[in-house]
Amino acid sequence: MNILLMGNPNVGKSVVFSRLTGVHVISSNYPGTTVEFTKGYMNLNVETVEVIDVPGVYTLEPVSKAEEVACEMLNADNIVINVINSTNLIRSLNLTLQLIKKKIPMIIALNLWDEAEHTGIQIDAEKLQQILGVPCIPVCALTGEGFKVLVSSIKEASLSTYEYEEGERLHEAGLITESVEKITHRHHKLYERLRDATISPVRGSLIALIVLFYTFQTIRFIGEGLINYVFTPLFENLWTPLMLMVSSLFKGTGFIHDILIGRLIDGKIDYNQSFGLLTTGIFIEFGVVLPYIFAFFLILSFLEDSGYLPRLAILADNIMHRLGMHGMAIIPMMLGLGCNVPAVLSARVMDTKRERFIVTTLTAIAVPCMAQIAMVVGLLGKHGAAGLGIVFGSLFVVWIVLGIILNKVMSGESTEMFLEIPPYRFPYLPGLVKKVWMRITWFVREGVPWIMVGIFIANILYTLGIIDLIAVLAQPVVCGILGLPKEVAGALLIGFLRKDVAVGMLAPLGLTLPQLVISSVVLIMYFPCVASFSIMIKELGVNGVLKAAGIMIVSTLVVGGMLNLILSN
Amino acid sequence: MENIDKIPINLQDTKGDVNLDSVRKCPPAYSTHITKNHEPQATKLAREEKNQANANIFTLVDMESDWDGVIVEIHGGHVMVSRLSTLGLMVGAKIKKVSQHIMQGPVVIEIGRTQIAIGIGIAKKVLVWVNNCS
Repeated sequence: MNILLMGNPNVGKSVVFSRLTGVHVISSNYPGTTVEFTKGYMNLNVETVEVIDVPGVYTLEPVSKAEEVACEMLNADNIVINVINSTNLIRSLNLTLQLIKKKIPMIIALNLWDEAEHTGIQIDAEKLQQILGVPCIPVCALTGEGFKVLVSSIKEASLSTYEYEEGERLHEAGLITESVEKITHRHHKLYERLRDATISPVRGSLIALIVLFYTFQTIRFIGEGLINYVFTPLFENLWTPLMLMVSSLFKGTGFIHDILIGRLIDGKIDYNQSFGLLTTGIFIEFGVVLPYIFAFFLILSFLEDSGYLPRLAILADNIMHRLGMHGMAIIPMMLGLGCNVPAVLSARVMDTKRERFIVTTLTAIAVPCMAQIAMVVGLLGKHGAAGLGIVFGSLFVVWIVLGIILNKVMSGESTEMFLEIPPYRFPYLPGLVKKVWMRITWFVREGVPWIMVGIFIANILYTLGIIDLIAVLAQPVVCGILGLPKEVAGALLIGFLRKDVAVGMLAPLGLTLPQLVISSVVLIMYFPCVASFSIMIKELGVNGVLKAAGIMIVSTLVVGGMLNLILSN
Repeated sequence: MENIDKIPINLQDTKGDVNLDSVRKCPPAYSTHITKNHEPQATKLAREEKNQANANIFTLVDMESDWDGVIVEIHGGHVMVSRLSTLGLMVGAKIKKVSQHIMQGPVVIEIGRTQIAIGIGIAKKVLVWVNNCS
């Protein structure tokens, strides 16, 4: 027996799932956060049962792939917990009535009960239970209210006795809603004005610009603050002395010393140039990248939970259409600024294969992840803002131009946006903290090993002289087209593994500012790192990835070559 | 939305050619050469009544912000109609237009207590009988 959590998009199934199983999954305030089936286990009367978090659907008519899979899982061995949005009963009941026809034992969790009460909606749960003939339990998944009753009611899951004509379903949902729901008062005026202002074309765009500006300012503020006041002192006062001790254990030389500590510069450890696993490796991860990753995920999670992102999607819809997508594509792109892996996964919110391809390709080419951004800022920041401006400006132009080209070249057209706008919510802080923590630990778990592997391989390749060989082979492209010294080829090679390490490899090369700009742009664009690459293969298939890779290489050479022509004059 | 009852009774009849197709089907000469005097009184009345009904019918795109009304027709295949119905967009639904975004941007409407964003391509195909167009 499995327990399936089913319901409309954005009703809080994933929060219910986390409550039941203790398995934490990312949940946000917009439809389509969950794109994969997540499994977890819960104890039910000493028995362990599997709980499955099914992506949200509006109907059981299999229109999309998620709906198809959801329908297949509906068989009589399973129990359904139908999660309902109490603030929008009629829409939820439309799905409930369809589930009833499938003849599966079920119970109903009336989620967002507290929010419904706040907005003046009262639902008579007992009456609903009588009408439908299945247990109906009011819950608030965020705080956990009502979950004891919900869990103890699972064994009472039953087949509904409610009958209706298929053609009358929506009408029936309306009738049931009318008989159990009482509405007393409406929203506050201030809330409504805020809500409407943020989606009005003029005021909304202004607000969006302000929000985005402060988003990046805050990320910079937090990131730089952590680096300057926490991580740099930690490294200088604690880690460096420790590493010097380790270094002296090896007497400052030898193969193992060079792998762990790297080269000593004037007898000292230079985190930018030493390139040992424990020096540069740990420093890149914790001293440069992690502070920014933390700052970014904190702000992103706040935006996600507040419900602002779908509004941004609406404002961006007209631009996105010209790039072959619709507005919701802004969500994978925003996630991509953190890390491309979750971005590629969330491209599933797009309706067609064409759109998923465009979103994924554009993200992989022109949306740098926070690890790259942090390293590039560290590398170029000391030369002033101009270099950074050219790097991110060129990426933005690439994003626009490539999107327009893909939209023109690829057959088919972009689909239309059709989206329920979630209400604004003040993020529930314990949930927010948990989400940021999950993302940070995920990043450390997935990121650290690859950084270490990258640095290890870079060291081996240097020691064996392979990098020099590759540098010679790549000379015509790297020197001829891009105007870079041939040693940059080593960074390009390691960039397959991990982009932040690759950017770090540029530091000791003594490049000029134009060369730093070109190599940063090239490193960001030319190919995804191994983690993004493998998830792209999973999502786009081998053919799709080959196409995307072709586009990447060609556009990198074009853009790199053009930058070289412009900047070298 | 209180004057919903005032929807003309012949709405059902006009439903088929709400899109002013019938007018377009006429040869261009029709409207310029035949003066109103030649038109029989009954036909004239029927035409005016129909135009009046049509005059209140707008696509979601043509509607102004803050207008409200009732959806009378959705031009689209089965898949589109059922997709729209999942969020409550169906014939008979009361809606209010909230905003329209520039440069072919989406239309935002309100149904019940929720707001929905609709791409302009779909919005063009949804016809609404408007209560309070001025």
